[in-house]
Amino acid sequence: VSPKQKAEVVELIKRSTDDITLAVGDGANDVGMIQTAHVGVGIMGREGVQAACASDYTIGQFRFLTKLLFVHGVWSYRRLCKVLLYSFYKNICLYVMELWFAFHNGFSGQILFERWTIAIYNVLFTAAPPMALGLLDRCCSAETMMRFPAMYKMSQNRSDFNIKVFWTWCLNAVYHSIILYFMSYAMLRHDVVHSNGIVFGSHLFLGNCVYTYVIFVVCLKAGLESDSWTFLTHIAIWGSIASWFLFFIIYSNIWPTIPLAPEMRGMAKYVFSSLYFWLGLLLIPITALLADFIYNW
Amino acid sequence: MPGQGETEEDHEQQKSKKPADTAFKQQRLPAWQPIITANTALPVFLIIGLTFIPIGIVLVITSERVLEHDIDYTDTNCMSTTAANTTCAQALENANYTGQTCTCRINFALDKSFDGDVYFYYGLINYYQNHRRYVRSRDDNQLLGKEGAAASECQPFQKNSTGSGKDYAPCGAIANSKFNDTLSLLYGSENVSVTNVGIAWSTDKAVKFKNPDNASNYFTSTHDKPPNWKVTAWELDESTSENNGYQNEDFIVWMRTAAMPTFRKLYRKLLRNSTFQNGLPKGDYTLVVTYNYPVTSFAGRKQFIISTTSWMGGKNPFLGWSYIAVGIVCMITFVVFFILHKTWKINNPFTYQMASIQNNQRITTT
Repeated sequence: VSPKQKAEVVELIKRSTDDITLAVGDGANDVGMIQTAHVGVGIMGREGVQAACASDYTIGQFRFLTKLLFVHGVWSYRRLCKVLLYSFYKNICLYVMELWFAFHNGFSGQILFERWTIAIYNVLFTAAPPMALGLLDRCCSAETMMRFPAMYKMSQNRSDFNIKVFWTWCLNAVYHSIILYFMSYAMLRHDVVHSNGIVFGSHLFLGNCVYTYVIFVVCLKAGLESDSWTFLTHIAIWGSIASWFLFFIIYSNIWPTIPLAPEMRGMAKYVFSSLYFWLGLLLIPITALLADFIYNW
Repeated sequence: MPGQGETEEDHEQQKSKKPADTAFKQQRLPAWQPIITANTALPVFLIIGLTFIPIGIVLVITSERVLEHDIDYTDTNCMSTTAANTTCAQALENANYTGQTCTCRINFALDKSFDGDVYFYYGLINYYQNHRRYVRSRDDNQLLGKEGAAASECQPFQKNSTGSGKDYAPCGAIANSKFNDTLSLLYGSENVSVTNVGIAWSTDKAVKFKNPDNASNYFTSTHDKPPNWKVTAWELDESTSENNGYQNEDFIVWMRTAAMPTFRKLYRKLLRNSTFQNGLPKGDYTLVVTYNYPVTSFAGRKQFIISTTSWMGGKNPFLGWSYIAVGIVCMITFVVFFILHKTWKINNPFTYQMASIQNNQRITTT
């Protein structure tokens, strides 16, 4: 059978059905079909490396194909879906709060959080949890997946990422942002949150409290969605939260030594010395995640 | 790299292309796979309910103990002592806001004594200190006492372009709109002793706000006072010389722009000596207002607030009630699911057994 004929067979299947095709081969004459199929798997070995070079995935022996599909295929599908949905969720959760704040600042466009803390949100504070979800999450062990090949079906019927799932996550994000913002707003409305009568007077104070609660909720949500917690997952979640606290403390002390963020000077000291902040930290993230916890249960 | 035409011997002599066999690279990291079951979830709800409700009760009681007395003196309460039958608000409007001043006296009574430390605030309503254009209208370098021209963000309060051409010190809309009413309290005929020290953030006063060298010359000749101010920054506090210029604590408090359109700012603290050793005694008081600050043109309101504090802060029962509410929700969830769990267990004993066996198996990798 010539390479062209092999490719044409794959093409025929692709055109006459809606199915996703996979082609596996090990020789130079398989290159055509590997490239035509949706997923091309090449075997690296006796007959050379052309097939491997042209493929999307390379394995060492034909028998590894089952593990590639039933274990890594399913894991990969579930991980990708989680990472996608989570990325939308965490951004919607934070930035929709600017809309809620707009109701209170006359729609003037004033942002609730300081501009660099917003910029670093995706880069540092919430970068690790989606990576942990995407690299390490396992719905079931490899042995279980190989023993029950029928479980492959769960990655084949669009169950993890479809319109309904997507909008549910978006609405969940909005729900969380409402709870996080309005509870913090109500908690801090009267301005005096220290026993020495000082007024906290700054939208950034409210902003930093809310931001801390958001980081907690968003990171813990990643944990809730995670099917398997490795030690790296722990580091990703608790480490992200710790990195925010560390950044907050450092960033609140750099003006005027470094000509940056004058409005943040002293913020960490006053936020951490306010019992309202800590009591809110206990209450508000738990309130936000209660519904998610019940749903997952 | 094994290429075409190589013999088997050559192939074996090459370095192995196998990926490293570590737990991380082979996706074999040991993992905890949490499966939320009734046995783990129900205790969680119970614990949350049992801790939150008492915390909430304590917080509500603490908040109820804080005493607060508000006096709205925007218009009808504050009748001018000089012009007959006019409110101070009206008097300012009649003079077309050309810096006219007005005094009024408001009598009120405290029916409980305010024991402990007492704080005096002025409150403003419908005043958007959190508006974007307002918030950025300041020059933090100028407030550090540094040399140089006032920043362009301060416009249109950057410099006196129609008059002397000098920069405003301090520049910007926030500084220009500084609250300038004077509020003092009389207990019968006795002045209530107050202090204006320690009302601003200590970090602000120590680090962010510094007077320039040769301050008196800076504020009075080389720079102009902001257009809406009656006096220069150097004349803000006649009695305490350190409390002038950018270091004036009322000014520093004002420059911390409030988060919401209804806010209060710390004005004075009670000085606890002689009659006021234990706080403010119960009785009749008079609030003497020098009404300079016009708010009626934008439907704003002004208040004078007397408040004690608790170990938490001011009076706000929201947190307490939220704790109680969430605690009750958790308890209800616990009860409902506990009943459901038990009835399901009774009705489906075999399935329950199988489910719990499967759930209790930790699915670890080997």
